[in-house]
Amino acid sequence: MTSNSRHRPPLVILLALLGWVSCTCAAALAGPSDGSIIGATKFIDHGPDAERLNLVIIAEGFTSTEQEAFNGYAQQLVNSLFAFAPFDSFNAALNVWRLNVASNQSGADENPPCDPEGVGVFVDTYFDASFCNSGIERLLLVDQGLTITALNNHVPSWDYALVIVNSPIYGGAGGQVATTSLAGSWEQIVIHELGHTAFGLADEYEYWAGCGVDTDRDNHPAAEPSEPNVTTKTVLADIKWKDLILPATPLPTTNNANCDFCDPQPNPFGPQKVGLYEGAHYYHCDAYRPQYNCMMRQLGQVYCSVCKRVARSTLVAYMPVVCECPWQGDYDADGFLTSVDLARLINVVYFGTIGTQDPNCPTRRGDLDLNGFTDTVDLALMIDHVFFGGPGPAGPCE
Amino acid sequence: MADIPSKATLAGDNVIRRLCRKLTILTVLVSLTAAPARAAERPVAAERLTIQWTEGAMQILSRTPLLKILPPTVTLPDSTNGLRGAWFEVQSDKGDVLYRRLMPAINIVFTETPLDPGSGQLSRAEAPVESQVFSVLVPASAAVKRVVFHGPDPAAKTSRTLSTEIGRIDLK
Repeated sequence: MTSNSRHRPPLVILLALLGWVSCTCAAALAGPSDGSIIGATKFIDHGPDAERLNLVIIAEGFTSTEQEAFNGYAQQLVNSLFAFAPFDSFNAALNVWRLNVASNQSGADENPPCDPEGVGVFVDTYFDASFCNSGIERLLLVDQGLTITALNNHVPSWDYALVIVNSPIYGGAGGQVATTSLAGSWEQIVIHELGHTAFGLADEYEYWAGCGVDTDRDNHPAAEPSEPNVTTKTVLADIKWKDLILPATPLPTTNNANCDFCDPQPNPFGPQKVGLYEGAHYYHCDAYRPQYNCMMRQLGQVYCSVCKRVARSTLVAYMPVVCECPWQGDYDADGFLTSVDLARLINVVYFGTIGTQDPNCPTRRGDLDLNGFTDTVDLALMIDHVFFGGPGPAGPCE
Repeated sequence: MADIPSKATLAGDNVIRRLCRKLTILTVLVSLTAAPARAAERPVAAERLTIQWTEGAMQILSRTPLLKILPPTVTLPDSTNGLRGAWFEVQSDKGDVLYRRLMPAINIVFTETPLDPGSGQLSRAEAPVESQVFSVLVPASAAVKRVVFHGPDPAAKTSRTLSTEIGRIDLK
């Protein structure tokens, strides 16, 4: 005790004590009492937070002794994400954080409407995750205000957040703070949801609850979706992805013969063909998607060309520039390579690991000699890959 | 006799050439290690707005200044029949759009889960909410006057409606 405090009048001490008690109570009332935040860890560090997209994976319904399991799930998700195009080439644009949060109990609430006995299950978890919101069994929500407060406090530069809820029951939610349980192909669903949240992509599937289930999904209304990967337009000049449609491609590329149902026809073209495929944005007819299939239509697929391009146009701004020696070639207005000057490319030094693609430098692909020089170039991989130097002719490459 | 380089000379040249290349690579790697590579874009003055939306009203809960690269602004499609979806616009005093991003609807929560376990096909369900806390990153500059939010009409309680303005925040 200091000499100053020793001479404080008892009333002041009492008031200070009352103040401490009231502050403590207020904090308990304002904050959660169902656990505690352990802390944030940047476990994939690709650079300064101000210059990268910061994805935060948050633990919910994991007790203090289950944090290692959560860490494993976070790593599992990153492995899946970074194996998925275009994140495979552009993963250097992302920092990935874990927000370890210890809940008092495991799992999540199961609200009474979905419980056959009408009782429900309730557990003490930090973000108060619960299944069966608004009577929808799989709608898994957390306290979004509390989650955003935690994000703002622990990872101020956060861009996207995902809450992993420690439960094997199917469920999740899209939106700004997405949630997922640990059921089935949860990593695939997260990548799909990231398409919505990070890139503003629409769902491309042509039904709502299921083909043969819906009775009110025959014809899309005339209003145009704001998202870049679905459209109601059928005239080439009006189509959002018109520049990717080859001249001989019929428009529409497929038609649904019976708008009462999902179109059952198989893909009449190759999987890569970009066109105008009828059936999208939750309707059987009058809405179109760019390719026959896409991750935004069905899990297990890749992003279609349009979705990939949209994703890249966001990610590229966050890529570290390590490719100081530009490719020689032509670029479109967005800075994407459209053709290359092979003669200038061969034997250009390769900055990355010998024999493999440098994750920081996705434009540099091909076979490398033992010293890291390009001996051959994989043109198919290079064309349309982003050029970090910006549009226009490239400078000398020495 | 013409000066045809011998195999040994060629091999020697090759060694020197390779050595130079190795030194070049080493120099590049050292420079990369010494100075972290900057991003393709530069961070700009930005603000994180955390907002409470309650049907009919928006209230800023916090404003946090940040230096941050912002994702690119987007253009909305032309449509004489209106638009569907949700987005926010950062506007100037005169109402010019300075920055726009698509965003999840504030007033709708939704879930997508496989139709059947193991199936790649998704099934969607949604529900309206009357209140939501959300956050947006916006550029911070003297020209910024307000942020305007668009989305499905809250009165309809479904995403199957034309987009309309659902709230705005004045930042001055």
